[in-house]
Amino acid sequence: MPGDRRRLAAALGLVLLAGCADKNLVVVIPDSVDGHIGAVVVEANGNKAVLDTAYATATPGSGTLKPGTSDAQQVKEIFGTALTAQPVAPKAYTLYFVNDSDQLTPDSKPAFEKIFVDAQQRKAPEIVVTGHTDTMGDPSYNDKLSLERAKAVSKLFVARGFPAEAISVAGRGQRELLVQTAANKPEPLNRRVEITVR
Amino acid sequence: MRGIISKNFLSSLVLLAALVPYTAHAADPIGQVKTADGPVTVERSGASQPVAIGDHVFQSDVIVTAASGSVGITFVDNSMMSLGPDSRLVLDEFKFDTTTHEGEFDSSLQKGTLAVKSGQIVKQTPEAMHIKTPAALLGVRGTEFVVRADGKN
Repeated sequence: MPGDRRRLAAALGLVLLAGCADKNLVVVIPDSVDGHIGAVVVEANGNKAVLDTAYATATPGSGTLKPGTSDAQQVKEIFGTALTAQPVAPKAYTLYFVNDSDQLTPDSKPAFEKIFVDAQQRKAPEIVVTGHTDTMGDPSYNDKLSLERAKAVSKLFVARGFPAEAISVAGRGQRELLVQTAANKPEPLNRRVEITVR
Repeated sequence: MRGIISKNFLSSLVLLAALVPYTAHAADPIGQVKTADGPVTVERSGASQPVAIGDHVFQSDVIVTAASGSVGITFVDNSMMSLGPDSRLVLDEFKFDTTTHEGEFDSSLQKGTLAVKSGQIVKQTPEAMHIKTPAALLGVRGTEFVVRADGKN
C-alpha cells in the first residue's frame, strides 16, 4: 500500500504542477470588429508555437509550451474584466472635397455629422486628420492644399466644441493616391481627408 | 577579470540603451487611457500616481491595477491594450513613424491578465510588437489575443 500512496502523491503533484502551469495562458481570439483570426508566435524554453486558429492556446511554463484549444466561455471567465476594459476600437472615415478647394463635397457634409457623433460618444476621444489631393497641379502646391483640407476639417470639429488639442492634422499631398492616376489628372476620389477617431 | 569587465561594460551599455530612448521620447505621449475602473496607478520616474480616463501614457510607464481595478489604453498606432485586476504591465519601448507606419512596440506583462488588439505597427511589420511574460515571449502578427501571466516562473 505505501507504493499506492506514493503513486497517489505523485499524481496529485502532477495535477498541482499542471494547475500552476495553466496560470500562464495565451489565447488567440476573433477580432472584435471583423471576426478575423490573427496569429501570435509564442516562444518559451526554446520551444516555439504559432497560434493561428480561433481560440488556439499555449500554456507556457514547466519546460513545455502545451498547445490546446479554449472557447469563448472560458476566455470570458478568465479574461472577462480585461476584455470589458477594452477601449472602443479606432474607426477610419473618408471625406471628399471640391476640386482645388478645402470645401467638402455636398455628400460629405452629412458624412461629417456621423463622424462627429462617433467622436462625441467616445471617452477621451482623439481625432487624426490626414489630407490628400489628386495629381492636378504640382506636388508642392498639393502638399499645402492637402494640409489646408485637413485643417478645414479640424476647424469643423473645433467649431462644434471638440477640443483642438485632441486633434492632429497632417497633409500627404499626392503621395497616397486612393486611385492611381497619371500626373495632372483630376480624380474626385483622391481629393479627400482620412479621419481616424479613437 | 575579463568576465567582470565585459559584464560591467554590458551593464553600462544596457543602462545607456535604457536612458537614451527615454530622454528622446519622454515628451511624446504614446497612448491615452480610454477606460479605467477601480484603483489603477502608473509608475513613472520612480513615483506612483493614480490614473484617470484621458491621461496620456509614455514609454517606460508601468501600469498597475489593484485587485478590483481594470484599465484600457489606445496607443497612437491604434493598437489597444486592456488590463484585468491585479496586473502589472511595463511599456518598455514604443516607436512609431506616423508617415510610414514603421515602428516597434515592446511591453512586459509581469503578472495578471491582458487583452491586446494590434494596430498599424503590426499591420506594417508583422511581429514588430512583442509582449514578454515571465514564462514566454510573444510575437504579434495581429490582431486580437489575450494573455495571462502568473508572475512566478
